[in-house]
Parts: sequence; C-alpha cells; structure tokens
Amino acid sequence: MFDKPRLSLVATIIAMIVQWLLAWFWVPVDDAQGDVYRIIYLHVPAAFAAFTSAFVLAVASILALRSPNSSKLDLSKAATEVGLVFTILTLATGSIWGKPTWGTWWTWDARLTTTFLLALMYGGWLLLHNAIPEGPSRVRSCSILGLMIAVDVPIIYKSVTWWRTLHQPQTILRSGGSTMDGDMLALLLSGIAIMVIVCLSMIFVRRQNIRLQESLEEKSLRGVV
Amino acid sequence: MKSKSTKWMIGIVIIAVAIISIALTQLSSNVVYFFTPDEAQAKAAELSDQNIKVGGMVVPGSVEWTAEALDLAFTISDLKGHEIKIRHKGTPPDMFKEGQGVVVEGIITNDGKSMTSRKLMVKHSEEYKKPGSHSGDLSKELLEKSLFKDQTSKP
Repeated sequence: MFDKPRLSLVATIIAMIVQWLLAWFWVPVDDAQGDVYRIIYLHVPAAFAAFTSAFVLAVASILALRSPNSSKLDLSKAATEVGLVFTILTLATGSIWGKPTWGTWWTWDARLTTTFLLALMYGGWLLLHNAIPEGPSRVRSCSILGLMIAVDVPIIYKSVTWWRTLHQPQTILRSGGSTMDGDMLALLLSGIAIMVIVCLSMIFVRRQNIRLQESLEEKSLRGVV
Repeated sequence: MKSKSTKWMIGIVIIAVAIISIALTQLSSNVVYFFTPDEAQAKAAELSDQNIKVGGMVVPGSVEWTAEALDLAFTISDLKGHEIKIRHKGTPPDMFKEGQGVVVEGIITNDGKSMTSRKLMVKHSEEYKKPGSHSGDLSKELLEKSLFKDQTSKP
C-alpha cells in the first residue's frame, strides 16, 4: 500500500508531531517574549524548508540547462510548488509572531521584503511554466528563473546583517555562538532537520505525481487510455 | 525558435541585473528602513514633511502612560547622547518597556527634538533564554548592535 518514500514521509510527519508536542509542553518559555516565542519552532524550520526547495530548484535548473532539449521540468516544478507552500507558511507564521511581539503584522524591512519576493518569484515560476508550451524554450526560461530564485536565498539570509531591519539578526549561525539556551537550540535544530526531510520527501512524492500525470496525459492524447 | 528563447534569456538577465542593482544601491544607501536618532536630527529640517521611521532605545524612566486617554510619551536614545521625545496615541505593543528597542514611524519636528508617532513597533534581540538565566546585558548589547548598525556619526 505504501511505497518507500511515502512510508518515510509518514515517519517524518510522526517525528514532526512529536517535535511540536515538545515545543508546546517541554521546552522552556522565553523570558522576554513568553509563550508566543514557541512559534519559532514552526517559523524557522518552514523558512529552512523554503530555502531547501530553492536549493533543489537550483540543482535541477543547472542540470536542465546543460541539456535543454532532453530535459524535463518535473523536479523543478515539484521543488517550486513545495517551496511556495513553505514560503507562504514562513510569511504567515512570521506575521502571526510579529503582531504580539513587534506590534505589527507586516512591515517592509529588508528581511520581510526579500522573503515576500521569494514567494512572488516561486509563483512567477509556476506562471511562466504554464505560459510557455513544452519544449527546450520552456526548459531554458524556467531554469534561468529557477537560478534567480536561488540567488534570493542568500540575500534573505544575510539581509538582517546587511541592512537595518525590524527583524532580529540570526540566532543560530552567527559568530560568537548561538544566542539561544541549550534545550531551545537543540529542539530548534531537530525541528529544522525534520522539516527539511519533510520538504525533500514532499518534493520527491510531488515529482512522482507530476510524472504520472504527464504520462497519463500523453497516453490519453494517443488514445491508449 | 532559437531566437525566441534567446530573447527570453536576455530579458530575464536584464530584469535580474535591474533587481540586483536596485537592491544594492537603493536598500543599502538611499533608502534605509529606519534612521538612528542622530541621523534623523541631522536631517530633521528636510525630513519633517515626510513620514519617517526612527529606531532607538526607550530611555529608562522616560515612559509616561495615561491609560484613560491612551496617551503614551517616552524618549528614545542612540545611547550616544542623541535623544528624541516621542508622543504616541494608542496602546503600546506587549513587549514595549523601558530599555527596549523600538522603531517609531511618524513625523519629526523641524528641530529634531520630538516626534509624533503614528506607528510604534518593538525591535527585540535575537536572544532566547529561559526565565532567570540571563542578566539582560547580552540582550541589550545585541539590540544596540542591530539598531545602530552603520550609524553615520560617532559619539
């Protein structure tokens, strides 16, 4: 009934639920923010998953650009769709976190603006993919846009260091060590690891879906089905 | 077919170059997300007719809150001697307190000494600690570093 990727996806989702229970009931409260900070255990992993999708998209785009005539965009499309979902999740959880702590749902600082741009570009990729008929021309255009999307990720990541922002700077990967208590940091890192695996599994399953769909469409066009 | 995809590529590359150059020139120099108190004061005369954002630390002891009138008054500082008095109508965010980092959006007076706030936002540090395990010094230091990044004038 379940094939291997689906089974591992189910296993990871169970791990994610355990992670959330720990985030709700086990990890200590933050002194300055109170319970509301617990959304970090969804917000930061979702952001890392959105970045992972962009990385997969970049690799798929480079591979596709090397042989545009024989390449398909199934992996790129799967990564873009999953990336868009996680970027929207990042923006939504960030907004819900921002209202009680910062006092605003949204502000156009560099971190938020570049993340919004990522969501727009993921959406733009899907539009572009729909707008061009299948062929090497679509492979080229979509792959170049895919690489541009990947370029936005390090800009998002460094935005809090390069520019003055309302968003606080990096907590984990910073010179001088993390600024988070041990228990909190351990749970956040495991949350990131789990979400990245969930993200990769989703991309894998979605890619299988796209391939199935394409082969079915092809068969129906030829009148086999 | 070939020329069409080449046109697409050229178009996308031009857009990419445009976006990156706008990002690098506009965001880093001309358009800052918020001014530090000394920058705002230095340019107060030309900025006084626009909506601007100023970031600073809430000076301890300066907060006056009249709950019935929803009237909030406090002073922000860059901790190097530049201070601006802020007047805000409305309840402050939950994390607002003395010694906290804030970004105030509003209109500054010509002399740069006071500001009418239309939007008050809290800027917190990237420190996460369980209760009773920190002195607050690191948090303050991190906040200062992030708030007064690339400040033009020194004390």
